[in-house]
Parts: sequence; C-alpha cells; structure tokens
Amino acid sequence: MKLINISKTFFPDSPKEVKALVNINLTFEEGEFTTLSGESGSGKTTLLNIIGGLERASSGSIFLDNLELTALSDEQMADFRLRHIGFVFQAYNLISVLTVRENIGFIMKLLRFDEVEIDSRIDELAVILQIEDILDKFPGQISGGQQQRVAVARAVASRPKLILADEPTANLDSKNSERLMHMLRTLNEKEHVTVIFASHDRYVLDQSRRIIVLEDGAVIEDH
Amino acid sequence: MLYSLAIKNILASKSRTLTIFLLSMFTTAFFIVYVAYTDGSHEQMIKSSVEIYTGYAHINTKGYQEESDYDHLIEDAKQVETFLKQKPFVSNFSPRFETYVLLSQKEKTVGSMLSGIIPSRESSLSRLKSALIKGSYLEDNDTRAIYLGSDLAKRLSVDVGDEIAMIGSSLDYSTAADLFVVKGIFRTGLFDFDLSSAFVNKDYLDSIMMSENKASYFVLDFDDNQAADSYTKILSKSLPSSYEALSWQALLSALVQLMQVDSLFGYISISVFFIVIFFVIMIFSYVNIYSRVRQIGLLRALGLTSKDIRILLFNELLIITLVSVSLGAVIGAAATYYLEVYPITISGLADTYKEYGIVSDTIPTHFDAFTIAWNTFSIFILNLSSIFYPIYKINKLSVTEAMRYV
Repeated sequence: MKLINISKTFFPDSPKEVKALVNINLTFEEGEFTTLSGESGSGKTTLLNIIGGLERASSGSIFLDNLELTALSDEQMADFRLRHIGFVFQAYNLISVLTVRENIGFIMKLLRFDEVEIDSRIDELAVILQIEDILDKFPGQISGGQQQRVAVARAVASRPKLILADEPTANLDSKNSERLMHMLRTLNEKEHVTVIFASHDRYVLDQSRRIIVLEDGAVIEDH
Repeated sequence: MLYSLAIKNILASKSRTLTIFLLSMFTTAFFIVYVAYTDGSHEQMIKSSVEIYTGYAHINTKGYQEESDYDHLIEDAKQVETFLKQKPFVSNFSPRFETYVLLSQKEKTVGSMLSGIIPSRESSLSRLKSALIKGSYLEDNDTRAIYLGSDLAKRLSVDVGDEIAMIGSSLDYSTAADLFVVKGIFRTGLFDFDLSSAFVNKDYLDSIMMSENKASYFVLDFDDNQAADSYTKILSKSLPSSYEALSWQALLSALVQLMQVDSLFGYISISVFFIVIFFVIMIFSYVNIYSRVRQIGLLRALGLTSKDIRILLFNELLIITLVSVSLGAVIGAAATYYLEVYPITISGLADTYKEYGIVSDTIPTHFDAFTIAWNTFSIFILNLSSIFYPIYKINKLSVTEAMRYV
C-alpha cells in the first residue's frame, strides 16, 4: 500500500481550520506489523481512518496494488472495506443485538460465505482467542477484554488483507493488552495479514516491527 | 443478514416496537371503522331517500325535472307501461301523478303534495305501506280515501276517519275539489316528507284531475338496483326521444354532492389525525435511530453501504408495519362486519339522524372488502413514509461522525 502526499484539513477556509495531516508519504508491505504513534492530536487516528476509507483525504492518493482507493466512490469504498479491511476499534464496537458468534460471523455472512465455513472459522478463532465459552453470549454479558478479543475475531474472520486497529488496548488492563497483542501477532504470523495500529501504548510499540511517529500531522520518524 | 439484523433490532427496541405497533394497529382499525361508518351513513341516506319514496329510477318526459308542471306530463302512460313490460331487468314499476293542492280541515289549511299512486304496486317500490302507523294503507279500489303523513295530519289536526277538503288545479287548469276521509297515517322519519305528503288512489285522482292515462313519471325497480345507473342508460337509448330515464344518482344529485362533500370533509378531518400519527411514528423512529447512531456508524465502517443502512432501517419499520397494519385491518374488518350484521341500536337516535336524511335508530356501518383494502394500504404507505426523513438525516452523517456520536 502506497500513500502519496496525503493531507487532511478539517474545517478548511474557516477560523476553525485544522491541518490534521500534511503531505504524508508512506509505503506498507504485505504482512507488516506496524504502529502509527504520536501524542494525542498528532494525526495517527486520522491517518488510520483515511487508510481505511472511513474519512476522505483532502489531497493525495492511496494505492493498494494498482487500485487507487482515494478515487473510489463511498459505495465502492464501503465494499472495499467489507472485502479487504478488518477494523478493531478502541471502544470494542460490537453489535449489541447479536451474540458473540453472530458478531464474529457478521462480515462473513455479508460476504455470503458458506455456513459451514463460517462456523468452522468462528470455532477456529474462538480457540485462538480463547473465547469458546462466550460464543452464545451477547456483548453486554462479557468483559471488556473479552469484547476486544471478539472484535479482533470479527476483524480477521473473513481473512482481510489489512487489519486496522485504533488504540485497541486503550481500555484494557496490562494482562488483557498482552494477551490481545500476542494473539494479533500470532494471527499476523500465521495468516500473513498486514496489521497497522494507531497507538501510543508502550507495550504495543514494543511488539511492533515498524513504528511510524507522527507529530502535528507529519511523519517525524519511521523505523 | 440485514433482514435478520432488522428482526433482532426490532426485538431489542421493545418500547419503540410496541408503541409503533399499537399506534399503527389502532390507527388502521380506527380508519377502517370510521370509513365504514361514513360509507354506511351515506348508504343509509341513499336508502332512506331512495327506498322510502323516490325509487331507484324514474322515467319522465324531458324537462320534467326542471319544471314539474302539467306541461311536462307523460301523455301516454300505457305506452310507457308496454315499453317497460318488455324490459326483463325492470322488476317493478308504477306510474305516479303528483300535484300541489291545498288540504283543509275546519279552520286549518295546509299546502301539500298530493300523489296519485297505484297502492298495490307501490308497496313493493317504496316504504309507504310499511310506514303506516295508524289506520290502514290504501287499496286499489279506494275512492275518497287519503293516506297522510304524520306531521301533515298533526298540522291539520286530523286523525283516521276525519274528513278533509282538497282543492287543486286539474289538467285543464280548472279548479278541482273533493272531500277525502283519512284512511291511514304514515311516518317515514323524513320530516319534510311526513309534513307535506298525501296519497290517494291514482285512478280516483285521475278522475278528479282529468289526468287519465297520464303520469308525472314512472318509478322503477331493477333486478339489481346497484346497477341502476347502467340500466337507465340502456333504457334512455331505447325510449322515445321525448322521454328520459334517470337513476337515483341523477334524481338526487344534490344528495350525492352532499355525500361527496361530507366524505371530503371527513377525510380532511381524519387526515389531521393521521398527520399526528405520522409524526409520532416518525419521532419514535428518529429517536430510535439516533439512539443507535454509533451502531449504524459501526455497520458502515465494517462495510455496509448507505443503501444497506436504508434497507436495514426500512426493513425494521416494514416488518413492524406489516404485522401491525395487517392485525389492525383484521380487527377493523371484523368490527365493521360485526357492526354491519349486528348494528348498534340506540333508541331515539333517528330523531338526531333525521336532519341528515337517515331514518334509523341504528348506527350504520358498511363492510366492503375493497374499501378496507385501500384503507389498509393507505395507512401502510403513510407509516412507511415516516422513516424516510430519519434515514435521510442519519445517512448525512459521515462514518466517523456517526461512530463518535454521543
């Protein structure tokens, strides 16, 4: 994935104008385990949202293979997200009216996977993420750590090319954070899925193979 | 998947679901009963006006409806009789001769419409016979017997057996006068009719008025009176050019217009009620959707398009509406059918109703499957349309705005 001169300005041409990202140029290789880091307001979540198509860049282009994502319509981008991107959000964001099993299989069902394949994938992920016992429970009936693991399972279930995780450990204690990162890393290695985090959690940074540091919307470090 | 999610959302939002469900159900049932009552009232007005005396159709000379004078009489009643006997769809008919006279008893004199009728034939064409309240109905060989409306009898202060004088104008415009004995008194409930109408045997009246083989018009019944309009068109085509056949819709055009205006005002009144219901459902949908903005944002982030969200939210309301409106339709239809078969009777109600031309102590309702179907469909569409604005508003939010919505 290539990001070329990505800029994002909120409230342009108004007194409230904020330049969230300024001329970002980055390349992500397949199978990366990368963290976008920086202080609050540095632009890491905005960049993650633009990579995932949740927000539009003010200027610049994003290419995945030879496809220009920034040229896609909203509907095309939604379809692209459905097929190729898995999201893990800070606030878990599970669908409250669905059980854990239904939440994990939600995207696969939308993509019309075979029922047997869906069940088998859910069972496989449940073992990896240690959530076998809560598959029939609703999100409101399980802990925050469990909810985040379910969110990870949902994100990876349909085997997307890219996982985007925005502060996934922000609401977890250290034990659950470690467990989550370990699981994501295992999935990254086993399934060769590209994972990009937005986080300033020290533990997440320690686990990452590449760290990109942002400050005032610009990349100041990439190692 | 979207359908299944819609059902789960419906079950999760119990209070919203129940409120919309009950509102839709009762609105549908209420609308059906209301329209059935309006239609029933109109039908009753028609029945009262048509069946009591006017009849479902008339044959008269052209111009008689505009000027009901001796110059527009049917000059050869036997010719019309022969013509009508050849029409298989005409089940009954009878000539009438109507004239305005003065009726007098002692010091009281009252203007009245005196009609010459054939009593035996009239008994199946109008309710004159069944409206009898005192004395007896006319017979075909009666001569000086007169059959009076109850309010006319009251104004003249006469009772059965009393004698009254009649003075009128015969066909040659000479004075016609006679004495009649009150044979019977009737009450139809139509106040004006009971106040001004009197009937005598046509043969006898013809001898006084010199109107033998003449008639003001013929009153007709058909094998299917619902098709009166079509039948009169058929009759008009084959009648001699000086005659015309008119259905009750043409004879009572003022009443038909009154009913149309009444229906229009009825629909305007009830549409205010519907607008309130529409906004209540829309507000509930709006509040419900906005309480789930983050979930909707999440669904869009996961890859659902705005169209998918529209389908999801539309499906939710569609399911609730489909079930509630169907149930409301069944309740409304059952209530309407029951009230048609077993109408509510309130003693003395006819006095209130009579100013509307209804002669009945019962609250009339009319069961009609087609009317119920379009009533139900109207509410169904109205309910569904209440979701468009909330959907429009929610889809205006960006994915990240929706996910951050508090």
